[in-house]
Amino acid sequence: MQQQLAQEQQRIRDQMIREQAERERLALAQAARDRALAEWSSRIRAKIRGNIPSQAVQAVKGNPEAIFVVTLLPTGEVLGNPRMVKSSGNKGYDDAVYRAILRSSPLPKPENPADFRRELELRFRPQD
Amino acid sequence: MRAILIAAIAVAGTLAVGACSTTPTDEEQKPAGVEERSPGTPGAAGERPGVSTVDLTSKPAPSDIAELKDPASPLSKRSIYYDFDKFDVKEEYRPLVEAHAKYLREHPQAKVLIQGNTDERGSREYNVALGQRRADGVRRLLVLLGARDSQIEAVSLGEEKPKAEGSNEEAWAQNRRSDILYSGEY
Amino acid sequence: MFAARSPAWVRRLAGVCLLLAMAVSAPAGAQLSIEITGAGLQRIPVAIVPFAGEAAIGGVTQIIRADLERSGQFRALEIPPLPTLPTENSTPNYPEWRARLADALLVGSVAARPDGRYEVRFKLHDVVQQRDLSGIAYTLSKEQIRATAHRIADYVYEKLTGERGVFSTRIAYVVKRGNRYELQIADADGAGEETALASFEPIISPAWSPDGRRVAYVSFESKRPVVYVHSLQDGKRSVVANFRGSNSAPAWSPDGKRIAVTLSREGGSQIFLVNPDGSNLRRLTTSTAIDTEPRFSPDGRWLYFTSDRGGSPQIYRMPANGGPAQRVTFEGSYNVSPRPSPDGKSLAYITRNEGKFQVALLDLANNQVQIVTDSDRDESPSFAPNGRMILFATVIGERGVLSAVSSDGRIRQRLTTSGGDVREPAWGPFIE
Repeated sequence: MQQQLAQEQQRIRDQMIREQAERERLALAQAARDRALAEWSSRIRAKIRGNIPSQAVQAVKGNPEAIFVVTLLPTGEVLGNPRMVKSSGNKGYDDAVYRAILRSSPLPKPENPADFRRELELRFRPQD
Repeated sequence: MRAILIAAIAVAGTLAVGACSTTPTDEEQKPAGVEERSPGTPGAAGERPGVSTVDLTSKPAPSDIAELKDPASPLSKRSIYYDFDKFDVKEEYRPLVEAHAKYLREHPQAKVLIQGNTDERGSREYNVALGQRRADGVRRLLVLLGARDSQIEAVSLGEEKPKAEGSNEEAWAQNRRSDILYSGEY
Repeated sequence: MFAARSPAWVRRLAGVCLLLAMAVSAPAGAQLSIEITGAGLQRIPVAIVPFAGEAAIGGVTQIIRADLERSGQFRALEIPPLPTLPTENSTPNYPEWRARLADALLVGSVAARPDGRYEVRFKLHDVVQQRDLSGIAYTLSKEQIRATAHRIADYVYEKLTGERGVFSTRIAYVVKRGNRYELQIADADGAGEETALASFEPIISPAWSPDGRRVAYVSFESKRPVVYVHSLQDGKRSVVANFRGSNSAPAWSPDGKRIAVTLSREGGSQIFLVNPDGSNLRRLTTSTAIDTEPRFSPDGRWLYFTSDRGGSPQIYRMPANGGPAQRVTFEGSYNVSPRPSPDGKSLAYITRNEGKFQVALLDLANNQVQIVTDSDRDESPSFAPNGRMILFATVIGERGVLSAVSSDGRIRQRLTTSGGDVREPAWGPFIE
């Protein structure tokens, strides 16, 4: 009986160690994926931002947000047209970022194809 | 005597003190002077009566302004200088202004033009106003000292007619200036 | 201590559930959200294909290209040698132009007509959205080539920026060469310079009438400042103000019916209103200070002006028909030459900053000041009628030159003129 209990306890301890290792492995994988996504986002951000004209930003009062959703092909090309889900309230700015998205196609691809996301939500504001 | 032909220059009678032109005038040609005959010219004897000459080119005879040009006389000094952005007549220039006021009192027919100037710094229009303030300051002082207002005209040249070229304090100090000019000198 | 009594299968299930839970919190395959702020494109790239047949009349393409580049907002792309260039009637190969990074494509042609005139046509394409932005056909004489090229540049500018172009406007300025002063009128690109007035005495403060047909200015030809209005077409001029003392600083009301001037006739320098023909004189300011440089707001309701009533030159504002003045500038001890922007939202002026005279912009809504030049003796700022550029005079190496800066301070340009000492620029209005 005593021995059975000890074995059971050992088994549970091993189980916990395996589960802990599994959690750590998953956490590391998640962190890596987060980093990869952040890096990919940053390249997309830079490319699109570089296609927004300064004049478009100056004309906007305040710092309203415009939100667009784009669907991508695995090549990074924008499929169809960007879809506006929220207007900034300023048509000139909405138009300018819409054009900037199109201008930026094909968007940069992630380092790891496995990180590719088909749909991107792009949130724009004129000021930092 | 010499024949005088005057080329037409547009001078819209502006030097008469108190003349206000509120109606528009196109650029005017001033009338040509009158040709004068010398006694030796045929037809000169028995000249037609009743023509008096209006000679716009006559300058006062030299003796009138000898006093004004004599270097020994304070009247030969015509310039008052100012500190930056200032328009008050400094103590050191009061004797000069007093001398000119005295001359004007003693010569009621004499007329002066005071031109106010500034250095080149700042807006041209603000400097026109500052120059005017400087000229007006001298005029007020002259009147206070006995000259008649009708003898004096005060105008501004702003920064537009500098005496000294250059963008340094030396040049600027020379240009912050009011000048007193008598008829015939302007 | 733990409950050794839980069955193993429960514990395994718990373990699996934990794994699942972690998978869901790392949303694989769900939407990625990216924030993008600000802007990064200074110059919109545009491909301008040389106009077919333009050799007959001289360059149209070059003028359009120079206008757009000079605005600082466009970059004219090099057109590669292509076997066939697009024409106005053909649909361009958009993806090909996209690959060349063009935002827009301009195509045009020039043709001689049997009656001796010419036809200039063009088409503008939006390469990004792959659509035709239309175009215009002009019939013109040879003398009108430059003007037509400027109008085409205006069209391209407006379609791609949403703002009105100023390539068809004119500028006025004064040139001093030796003892000679000239009031010059030129195209906005500096070409076509014509002398409106030549004098041996200074000319300052040119001011365009709202209809662009007349210029008011101050002339020292009578050895003191007098205000004139000068009709450009026929050279006829008339006196607006010639009172005792100094008459200066003319500024037209937006309806062209009145001119504000600074007069010393009642002592000091005070602001008056007068009709362009010199009649109906009315005093507006009533201080013992220097009040000068009046400028109407674009809606005609306010008059901005320079005053030293507070001890140093600052900018004030009063109702255009008279009334109490409020101070407008508070930073710095020398603020002069107010110029309201065409949209009335900001004020350009000259400020003395650490001893240097520079162009500043005041946002009238939030009172923020931005100094937009870093040169020294800046003077006489003048807004383009679309409010985007500010023309001003400055000194480079002892010579007066004209410069321009964009209203956000980002674009700087030096204007080349034909020599001499250039000063007192004034940007003309849109010609309707």
